[in-house]
Amino acid sequence: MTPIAVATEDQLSEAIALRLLADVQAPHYITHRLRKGGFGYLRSKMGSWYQMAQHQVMVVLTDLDRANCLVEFREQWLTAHPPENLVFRVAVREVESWVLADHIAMRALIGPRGVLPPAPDSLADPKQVLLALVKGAPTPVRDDLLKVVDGNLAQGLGYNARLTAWVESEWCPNRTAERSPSLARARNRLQAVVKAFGAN
Amino acid sequence: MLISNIRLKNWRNFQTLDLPLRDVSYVLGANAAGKSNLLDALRFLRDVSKTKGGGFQAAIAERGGISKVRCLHARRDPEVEIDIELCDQLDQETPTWRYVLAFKPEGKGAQRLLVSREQVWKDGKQLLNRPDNKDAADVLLLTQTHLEQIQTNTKFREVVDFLSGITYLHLVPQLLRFGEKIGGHRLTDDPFGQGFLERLSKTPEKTRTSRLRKISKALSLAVPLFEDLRFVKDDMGHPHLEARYAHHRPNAGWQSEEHFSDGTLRLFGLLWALLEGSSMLLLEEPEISLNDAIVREIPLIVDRLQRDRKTKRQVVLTTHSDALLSNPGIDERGVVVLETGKQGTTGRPVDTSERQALAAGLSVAEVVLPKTRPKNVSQLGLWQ
Repeated sequence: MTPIAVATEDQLSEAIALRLLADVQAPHYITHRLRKGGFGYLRSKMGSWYQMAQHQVMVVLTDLDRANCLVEFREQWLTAHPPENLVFRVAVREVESWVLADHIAMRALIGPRGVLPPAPDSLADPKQVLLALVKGAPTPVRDDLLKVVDGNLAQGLGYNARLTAWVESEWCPNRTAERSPSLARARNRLQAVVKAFGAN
Repeated sequence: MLISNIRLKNWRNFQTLDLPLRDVSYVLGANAAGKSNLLDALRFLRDVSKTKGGGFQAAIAERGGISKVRCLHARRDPEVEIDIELCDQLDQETPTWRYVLAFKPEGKGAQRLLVSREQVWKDGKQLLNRPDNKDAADVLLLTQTHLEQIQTNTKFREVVDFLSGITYLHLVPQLLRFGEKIGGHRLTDDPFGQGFLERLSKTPEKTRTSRLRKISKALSLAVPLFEDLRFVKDDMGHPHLEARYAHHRPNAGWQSEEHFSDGTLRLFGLLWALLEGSSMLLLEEPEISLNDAIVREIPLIVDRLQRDRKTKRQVVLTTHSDALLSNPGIDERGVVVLETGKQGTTGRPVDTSERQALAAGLSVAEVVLPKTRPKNVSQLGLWQ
């Protein structure tokens, strides 16, 4: 059994990471779920993640957000030779693009209205796209996910709660991988590292 | 209906205060900043307008007299004033109602406490303006408000009903658990839960059962091993709450509220209060005794319960909790910050730069809450 620790920025990222791990075809269990809100925490604890990676597979999931280049971003966070058990994944640009990539699950959430993005990885601000789509969703979903202040869309009080439940019940990494190369890579890497750890 | 604005003059530690309120308002401030005093201004209006045992003079007497109520910084102007605006909906241009109550000691003789101004507006049109001719002819009339008298409040009964329905909750588990043993003086509105079980007992059975079922569902998510909840009366006729937990032997029986944890009792009280009543609900630090993971969900619980109701219940809550304010979905227009200064406490809504930080995806816990920390609090740890 491979021990795996998961460090994320928020509840939704954590749910997605756990859902991805659930699909990993190798025996494993979760040792820690580490999360304290915001990427500042993730980055400040990079040293801890390195150390923890000596004893287990350490999954760190963060967002590229508005940073321009993935390579540059990785260089800022990681040293030249990160430990092989560290799975450092960056959602391009936010985990919301992974949320948007499963069109079937999205329809189950927001209903038939709105056009879903064919290639969510290329969106500049996937969260805003998601929120704009939610505007046309059934009222209970909209009330949970959306807050409108002075005409601006922002995440509502039930954003994390509802999307987390949705990730657990509807969202399918298999389907998502078809539209999101960054998710496909993240899955493959997870699978490879967990397997390698088990083999050693 | 909801209170959309409150203005205070010389009320306790506020020399002046002018704050907008939303459907859910979060009151932030350091210890002794006056969070409870702000809630007390609303409780005071409730006490004045109560039909039973209420009234202006009683409400002041219960608070220890005018000298306890009036702001210490009020040197020249001895008048205390409370001014509220009520709306049917948020963001209304003209408030549906405005009620102003100002009072001060007579300034001579027996120093009777007199209403110095009482005014009511409906849709911007003034309905009441005291002192009037009758008051001038008989000063004794000024010892009472029109708010508290059914003969005089006919035209603004709606306001009276709203104010008298205000509920305050600050459940103290020990008082609920040992209420019978402690006995003693119980405050008229029992905000601390001494008679909480009696309140349950007085609720019609059908309503009570359906509420308990709802609460039971919530508790089973929040309290490990919790299974079921029921209301019973013992041989003496005393009401009790009982819960069953999964780890006991199947027929080990039910545990009564004496054995509930503080957190379970507080969460129960919170959920019950949210289900009960239709007027304003004042919550004093709902986070106490609760696990952070539960506290984090409070804003969503409050919001969702309101959403499903025909008549929404306005909530004003005071908090110190990082967890409670960590949800980025909190509507910043409902956040109110109390700041202490030499001239008493002032209050303000979230400012522009805070708004910008919140719009960038940060939470109220990150942006606003740190500002309520006392400046030198880190030195406290060096105390010996």
